Amino acid sequence: MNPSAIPANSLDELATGWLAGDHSAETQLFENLRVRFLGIAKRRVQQDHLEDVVQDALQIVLRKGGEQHRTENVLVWSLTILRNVIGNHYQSRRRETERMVTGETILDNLADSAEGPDQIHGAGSQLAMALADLAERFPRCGRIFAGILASQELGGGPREVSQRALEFVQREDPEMTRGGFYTALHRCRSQLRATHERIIGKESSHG
Amino acid sequence: MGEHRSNHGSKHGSANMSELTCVKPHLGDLLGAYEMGLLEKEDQSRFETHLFECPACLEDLYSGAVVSEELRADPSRYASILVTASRSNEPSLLDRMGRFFHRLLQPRVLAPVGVVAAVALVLMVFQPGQLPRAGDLAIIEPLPYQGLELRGDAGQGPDQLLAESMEDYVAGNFSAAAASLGLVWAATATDPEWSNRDQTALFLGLCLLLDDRPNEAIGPLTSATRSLLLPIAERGKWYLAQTHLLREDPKASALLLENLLNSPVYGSRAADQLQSVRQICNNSHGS
Repeated sequence: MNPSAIPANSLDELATGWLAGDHSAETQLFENLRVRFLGIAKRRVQQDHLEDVVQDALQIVLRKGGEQHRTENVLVWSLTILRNVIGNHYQSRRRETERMVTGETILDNLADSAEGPDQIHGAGSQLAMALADLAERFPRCGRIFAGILASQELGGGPREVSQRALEFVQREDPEMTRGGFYTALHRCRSQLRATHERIIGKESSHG
Repeated sequence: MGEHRSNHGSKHGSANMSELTCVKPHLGDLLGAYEMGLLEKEDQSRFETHLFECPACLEDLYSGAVVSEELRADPSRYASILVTASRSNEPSLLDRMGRFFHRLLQPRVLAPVGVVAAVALVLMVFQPGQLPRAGDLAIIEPLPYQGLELRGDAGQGPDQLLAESMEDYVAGNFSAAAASLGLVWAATATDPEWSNRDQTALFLGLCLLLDDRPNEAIGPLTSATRSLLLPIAERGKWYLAQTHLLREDPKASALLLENLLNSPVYGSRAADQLQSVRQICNNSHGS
């Protein structure tokens, strides 16, 4: 997609239009997702399987998005679906390679993959451990995430959720700007991911 | 604390992303906020446009998608975990958190589903520096209700009253709902075969709990736990466990929570809560 042709609407707005029956929004949404899916899948899937994997993922987004009336965080949610499809693809390739003589490269790639459905399925308890660890080691990150999550529980749109969380963080850091808050959140997110991956790694090595 | 720009290259399947760097860090810094749904539409679009030109951020978003979806799926659970984990480190700060959110919640405490859960979370941090009391751990939130399929003749007698009671429940008027559900419960006491009796028991107990009358909730909730309908029995056990916590009876609560560990609906919550409840049991035993 030519960047100049990028729609002005966010993907969530396009999803809302799609679910309201707007054909143009649907076309834009799925073309938009397709480009992003291809960008990710081409780094993980061999060229001759690329289109199939992306199409499979888009089909699932189409079906489940419609069923669940998904209009929030559509891109992030769609990426979890792509992740599952790629994980399944790896597994089917693994089964194939077990039956065939294979080079080391594919086997290494499979071993290196952290994208199998089992790991996604077990994400909840591992994430709980990662959060607890994060809060202990980086209390400020604990506060930031706790503020956001508690604020989300109260409901409202992005402005309300974000404002409540920011105000909470500002009680400790009165100089904190919205931009600073987002930057801090982003760094905390990196910490959380690193912790989460470490825990997944530990469990895999024990398993 | 790790820098986002040097952290794009963590393991993502077979792809080697270690060389990827965000091309516009001032936009890349919005990633965490985008992922957590904090950005307004304009910034959302701006960040999504950035993703077209920045493989590093797209990869980062992809590899963190499962975690952020999980966080957003159950914010109260994960906020509770953070609060519990931070308690020993920063009690005074978490106390402030409790007061902060409690102030926000005051006018709408009985409004939508989920808010009461947030109150329970907030109450957990009210007593900094102390071990939580059992009652602090209770999670009291209304069950979502989108209209029960009432069996029997919904136009008359207990069925009609049950339907009216549930209208009060949906409106958040738990006291009125408890009163009329109590009537239904009493009126059908001699008819244990009445098809909606288990549902009535569950919602009566829940309304009493939400109306801050845990002692009265025990009877109907115990009845609900005996339902042959598994969803009702499990919900009954969960809320009865919460009732026992409110009554500072963690042992009774622990027994019910143990019973729920295999539940697809309550299993993970029960496991988390059971851990804290056992801690309280052990502490009280030790002292």
